[in-house]
Amino acid sequence: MAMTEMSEEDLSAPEEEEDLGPNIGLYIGGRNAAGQRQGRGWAILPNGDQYDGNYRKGRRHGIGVYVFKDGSRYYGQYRCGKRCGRGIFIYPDGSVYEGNWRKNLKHGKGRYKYVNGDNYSGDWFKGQRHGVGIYHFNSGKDGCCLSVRMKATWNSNMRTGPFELYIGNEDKCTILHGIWDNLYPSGPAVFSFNNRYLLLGYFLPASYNMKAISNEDEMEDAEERLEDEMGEAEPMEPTLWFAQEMAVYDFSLLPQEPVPLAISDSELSVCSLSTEPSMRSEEKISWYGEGEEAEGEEGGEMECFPCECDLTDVSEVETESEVCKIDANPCCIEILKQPECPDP
Amino acid sequence: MDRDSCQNFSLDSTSSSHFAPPPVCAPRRKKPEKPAAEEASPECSNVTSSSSSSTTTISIGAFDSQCNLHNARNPEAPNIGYELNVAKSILQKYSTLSGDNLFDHLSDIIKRVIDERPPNVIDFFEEFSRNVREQKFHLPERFPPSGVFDEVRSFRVAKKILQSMKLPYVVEGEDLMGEDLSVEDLRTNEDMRIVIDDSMRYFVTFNERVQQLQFYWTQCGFSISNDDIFQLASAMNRLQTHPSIMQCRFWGCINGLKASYYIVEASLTREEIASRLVMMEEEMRQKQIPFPMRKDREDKPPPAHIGPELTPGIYGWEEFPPEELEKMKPKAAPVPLVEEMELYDIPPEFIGKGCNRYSYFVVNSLFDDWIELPIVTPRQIVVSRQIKKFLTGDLEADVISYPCFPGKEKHYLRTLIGRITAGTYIAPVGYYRRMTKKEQRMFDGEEEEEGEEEEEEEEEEEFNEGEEEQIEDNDVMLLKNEKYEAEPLGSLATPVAWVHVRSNILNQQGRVVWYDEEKARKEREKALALYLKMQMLGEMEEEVEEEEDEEEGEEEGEEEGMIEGFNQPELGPSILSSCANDMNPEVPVSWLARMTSKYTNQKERMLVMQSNVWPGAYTFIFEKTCESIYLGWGHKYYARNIPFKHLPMVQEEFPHNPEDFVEANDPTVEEEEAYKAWLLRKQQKAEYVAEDIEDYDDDEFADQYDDD
Repeated sequence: MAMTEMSEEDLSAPEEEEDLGPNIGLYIGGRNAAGQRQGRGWAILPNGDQYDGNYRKGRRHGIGVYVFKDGSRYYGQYRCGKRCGRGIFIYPDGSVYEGNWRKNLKHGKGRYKYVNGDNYSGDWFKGQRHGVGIYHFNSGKDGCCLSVRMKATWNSNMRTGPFELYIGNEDKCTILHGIWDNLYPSGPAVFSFNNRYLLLGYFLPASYNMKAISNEDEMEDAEERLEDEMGEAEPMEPTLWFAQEMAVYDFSLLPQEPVPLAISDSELSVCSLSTEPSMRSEEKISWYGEGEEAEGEEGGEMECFPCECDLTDVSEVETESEVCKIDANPCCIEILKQPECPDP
Repeated sequence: MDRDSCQNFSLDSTSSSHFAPPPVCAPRRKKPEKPAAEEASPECSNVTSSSSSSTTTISIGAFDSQCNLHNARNPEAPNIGYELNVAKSILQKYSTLSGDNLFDHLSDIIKRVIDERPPNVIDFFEEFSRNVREQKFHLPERFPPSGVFDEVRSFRVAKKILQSMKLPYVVEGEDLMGEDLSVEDLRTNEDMRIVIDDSMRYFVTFNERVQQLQFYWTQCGFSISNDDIFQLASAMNRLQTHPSIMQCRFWGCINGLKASYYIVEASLTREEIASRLVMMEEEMRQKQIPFPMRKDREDKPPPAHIGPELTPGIYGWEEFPPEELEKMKPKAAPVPLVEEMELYDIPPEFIGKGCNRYSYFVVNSLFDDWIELPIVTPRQIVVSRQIKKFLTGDLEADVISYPCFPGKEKHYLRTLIGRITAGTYIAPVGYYRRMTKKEQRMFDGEEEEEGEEEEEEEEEEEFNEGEEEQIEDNDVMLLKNEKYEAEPLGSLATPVAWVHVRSNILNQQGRVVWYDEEKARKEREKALALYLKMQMLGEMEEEVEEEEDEEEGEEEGEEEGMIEGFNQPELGPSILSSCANDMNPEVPVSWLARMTSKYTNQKERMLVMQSNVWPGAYTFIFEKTCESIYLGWGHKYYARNIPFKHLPMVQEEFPHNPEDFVEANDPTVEEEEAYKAWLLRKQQKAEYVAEDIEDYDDDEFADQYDDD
């Protein structure tokens, strides 16, 4: 009873001779010879979080469930106290990420299900969408009729370059091939219908200067409509579609397919993850002075592997060169349970 | 030798005269037996020896002796009958080649010989026999006994067409006896009272005489063939005689890839509309119920999530002692789930009002039964404005498009009809007029039904408070102006002289009358609040109430942004507005006016108004006859192509700071040891202070050992 009451109180200096003692939470489970937590354990941390899973040398290692105070939680693999490997993260608003992690960041292949039912399946890099990915738009009530999916190249959470927009169902499908420019497609584009016919044309900006007067009228009307639809003033005005030519399906007439981004060797290495991440990344590691010092003391010489655990196998770096098929699921995620460490 | 044979023959005939038929057959059968007798019996030797002496004596003796032998051995009667039958059966064997038998053939020969009596038959007997066979008629046995007349394929279609015309004699008799008016009187009398008859006649504005209009259509240059017009008149007559139909009009024809649609516009009777409104109101109420109220009815709470166990302390801790487990009392928060967003569509307008004022019937072949199209919803109209597709001719075909159309081809066809009617149904200024108050009451019903109508009006008022003027302006049924006088065509050859006679459909909502979504949302919230209070009375906990209150707050916050944009109702052009005000960015000139003849036939020419926005929509006027028709593909005009609707914005992750969602570190061994030291110090103080707490000290010591 005393422990329970005290665990809920704030932290204080251990040297002080007051009723308030140091708050170290609660823990039941296995320990090793040195008194560190190891094996299966269930902990209530001082800040109110909970963890039920495997430990090694006092840190979370292996598969476990971590529950934050606000209800969000992570179920997956840990390595030296950090999210590393495969896992599921449920955010407070109900959105879910299921995929690969590395040092508490989304990295590798993953799938994110958003609040409104949209889905993103593809590559992640340092917590951001980066590489080739398929974004599935939720159609709402009419979703049973057709599905709208977009396969594009993402660069730091923004779509750029070639893309493929897939509209249809198993029986009939229409694919829009083109080049995406920040918010809207622009430049030459091709509609393919059931892989039989093509409709070639251009997405031109709204302010495109055209000689014909009627075309200008058309553009004005389109602008008004699109602006009304968007409801907001966008920095980039929506582009207009101008159909030009019909043709039989010919693969050579299609624009380039989305290709994965080239990542330099330095970025691919594990060392880069230990350094300060770029400003644009949404999730950042908060380095505490004590943590850094501790890591420095334990393994100062080995910068590539700051964790002191004796790991023989080297972690594999996910290859980014695989081109995802538009219909296939790029992430075959399986949460594998690691063998539990024997109890001391 | 010849004489001897003749004598033998005569002798035989003589014996036959004595004994009748049996003796005639006997000598024939005896002749083949002679050689056998000669070979077998000893008498043969006697015959041979006697023949050497004299021929006549030998033959007579043999005959007599043989006759005596037969007579002595067998009786004559049974033997003759049996032999006769055997011989007849032998002769009656049918030939495998020609199918004839010898008995019949011989009978025919004898008959011919006796009838014709040819001379010297014996000399050409074989030839005579061949002629008899040739002249006989052979009838094949395979010929069917009775033939069945098979109908020609086209006869079925003709029969169907005749059935569709409905040609009973009684009707013809009535037609001959009286005029068309009498028929109408009979029909109306059967359905309603006399007073209602007058009111119904008063409000009939459709021109249902298709064959009469055919003349004008032919003059204008667009027409349907005469045969089809006759079929169309018969089909419309079938539809008009239905008790639920008050009046009907040929709307036009929309082409399809496989089959075309003939479309008839009809207005229903008051009773039919009233019965349909009852069902429609009930359905709309159910759709407007908030989700929590529906979920409780279902009584099926969905599972929190499917997958691995996400709550710590549940799985894998059975072996641990319960004492230690009790220490870990604070349970984890529940798994966060996505809040189910409640999307309420704008409700459709009531039957007999707005876009659903008239019913539309379609048919692919004029001799088939009419099929009524379903009512149109605002969502369907909004989406149909963003797509452009060919019709296929199958009402149940899927409409595959982007954005996705919520319905089948029949729904898409219905939206096209609504849009085309709202855009191209025009008439000269003064041709139609609004109803007066008295006429409005008469149209709504008698005194008994005024209450119901008032209720409907109240409902409309609830939906659109402060917008009564618009309701009166747009959602009304127009009557023909009796005082209208034919104007010269020159003054009508301009869009200024024409007005729209059907209500305009608003751009944003897809309705004729503005629907206040904010007001409806408030009503839903009130209903939900009442429901929650009822739940509270039904022993509900306060916690649930608090949670739901939070949800309501969030919903309100979300919807406020959307509602701000729709606070001000959209104002469209009112009914009876001039066609000159029609503006379309695709087409600089919306209407084209032309005459069937510009310089000649001054008194017989007609004016045709052609829509450039909906190619195929025509309206002609000749003196006091004015009608609109649509003959096209159901496509609105676009100079190049319909604009592509861009994708919605891409969702972003849950907003959080870089420091968020980073797990806290577990306490280190030093921290735990420090905690234990602190506990030890605390225990020492306790022991030093008072000895009465020794029991507690023992408990603390036990805890220490457990921690280790």
